[in-house]
Amino acid sequence: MFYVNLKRFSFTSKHLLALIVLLFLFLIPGLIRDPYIWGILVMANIYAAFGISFDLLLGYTGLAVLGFGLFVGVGAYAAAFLNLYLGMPPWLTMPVSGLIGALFGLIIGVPCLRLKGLYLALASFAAAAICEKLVIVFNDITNGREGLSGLDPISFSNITNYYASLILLLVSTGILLCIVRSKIGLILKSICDEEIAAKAVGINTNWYKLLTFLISSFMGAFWGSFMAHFMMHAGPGVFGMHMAITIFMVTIVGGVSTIVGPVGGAYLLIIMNELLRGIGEVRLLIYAVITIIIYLLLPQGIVQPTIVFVSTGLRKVSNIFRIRNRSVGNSAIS
Amino acid sequence: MMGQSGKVGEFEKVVLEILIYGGVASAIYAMLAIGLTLIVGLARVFNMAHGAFYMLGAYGVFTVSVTLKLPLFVAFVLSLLVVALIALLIERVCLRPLKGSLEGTLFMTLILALLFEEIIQLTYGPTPRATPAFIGGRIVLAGVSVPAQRMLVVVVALITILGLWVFISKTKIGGAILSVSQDPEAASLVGVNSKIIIMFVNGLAASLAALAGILVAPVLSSSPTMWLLPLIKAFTIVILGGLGSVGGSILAALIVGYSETIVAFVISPRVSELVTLVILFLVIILRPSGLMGSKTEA
Repeated sequence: MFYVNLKRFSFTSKHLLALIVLLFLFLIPGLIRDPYIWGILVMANIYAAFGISFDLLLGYTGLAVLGFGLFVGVGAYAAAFLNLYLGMPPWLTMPVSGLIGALFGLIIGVPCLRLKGLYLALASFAAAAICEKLVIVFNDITNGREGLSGLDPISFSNITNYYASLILLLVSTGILLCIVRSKIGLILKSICDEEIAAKAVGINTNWYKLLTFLISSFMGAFWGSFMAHFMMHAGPGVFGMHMAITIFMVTIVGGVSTIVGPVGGAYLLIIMNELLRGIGEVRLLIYAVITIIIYLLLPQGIVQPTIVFVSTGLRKVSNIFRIRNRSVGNSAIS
Repeated sequence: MMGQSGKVGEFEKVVLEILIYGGVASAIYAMLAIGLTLIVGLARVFNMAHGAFYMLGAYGVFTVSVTLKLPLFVAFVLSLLVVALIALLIERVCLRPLKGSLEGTLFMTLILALLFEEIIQLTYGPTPRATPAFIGGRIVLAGVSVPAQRMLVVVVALITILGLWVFISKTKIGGAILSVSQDPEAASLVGVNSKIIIMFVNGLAASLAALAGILVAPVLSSSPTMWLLPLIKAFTIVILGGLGSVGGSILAALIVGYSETIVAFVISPRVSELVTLVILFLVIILRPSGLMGSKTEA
């Protein structure tokens, strides 16, 4: 199903752009020698991962899961319990939390399958809010509003954290891109566009929706536990509205149903955060206003138009220097 | 609280207290939910900023009456007008271009709600603000002493809801609203301008939410995060009552208000917030069309 036709592959300006961006991401710690900035970039990678997992649900299956924070929170608390009470190391808690998150995805997903639109959004939101309240009510094991602190960090050096998060993010993005560009992706799109028609041609829509739920909740919980380990803390705030709103702002600004988009959205949010650090608390306000403007003027997000613009530029430059590859015709189409 | 004293008199007092405090909660929820159900039934816009209007009403009355020291009546009218204007502006600038896309309006209004929360947070800080009671003193009702402010909430809410009922069922504009909510195309064929009606109802719904906020401001203190829980409760009530059904919303508001108060009195106030969430979850899973809704849609 993930078969890639290597004969059809040709090196276009888009791939050149991707290589440049990747090279840049790997070289950042050498260019900016500031552990504080590295820590900020780890958060960018974490939010990017939340964004792409959310995008799989929203952009490819049309499931507006308002309570996406549920999976993040389950992952964070699962990691905290496994690490603090059972003494599991971080590299083991992350996949296990992912599986626990997928289990929650199954529990929430099965009753939510019949629901669409607003009902799904509110049901998932109610589930997240119930979990948040339960965490506060059972404060003898969850430490209530304070949350659990003192988790093992992934590494004490931010440079290792950065490379770990970057490589994991690349793997996550790669997996999701493979999924959405395979036959499964087409099926998901058909469910998103016209579910009844998809059923009519014999697609088991429920199974594919559940599969999306499972993948997305696994990723959300996996990265939730990564975040808990990185911050060495798991608090009830991860279930809350702010987390959910931030995740979908990142997704919308970057571009819905692109998978790569949310990564750009997350980095934009982080860069803006740094540029506006002097202004302090107004940052979130400005980001919300920018999100609204982008959503009204540029509903497909900022990343896709940027890619088209830059890769066209790159093609023109390479044409000038005659570094043409054998597939000029192909790149013109793409 | 209930079982501790074995006296019958105490038990009756608790029942009466539940009746009165549940009534106050239901009145507030009903005002919030009616506006929401009207706009959901009319334009299929699931306005997550509805709770923000409630918050703006509460902060509006605080600003005008406490900071600017203007009379209470002016504070009432000013806050209602400002909130209605904000709602009209939002409808025109942010919601109309989305052409009723469900995810779009959901996210747009949610971001707007966050925006208002941030604005309030920056202007007034995170500390709760208390507005002094509009009328002081306590009223003794069947042996239970209730703050007069809470009774004012119930009275104003009852008058407003009755007035709204008469307005919708008896006037020409009310008929136009109902016709647009049943069939926008047929309504426009008989000469109803659905755009203006939708704008009007947006303003009306926002001022209802603001009125609820104004009335609540002296009872509960106002804080920047006060929009979220009432919003969830209003949505629960709208879905429990059936989308677009005003009567269903009133019935559902009574159910939610009283079950919450009973749980708060009998078990603990800490879990009373969970009641709404559990009701919401159960209704959505078991009967998405609600009590008075005829068809499932969303």
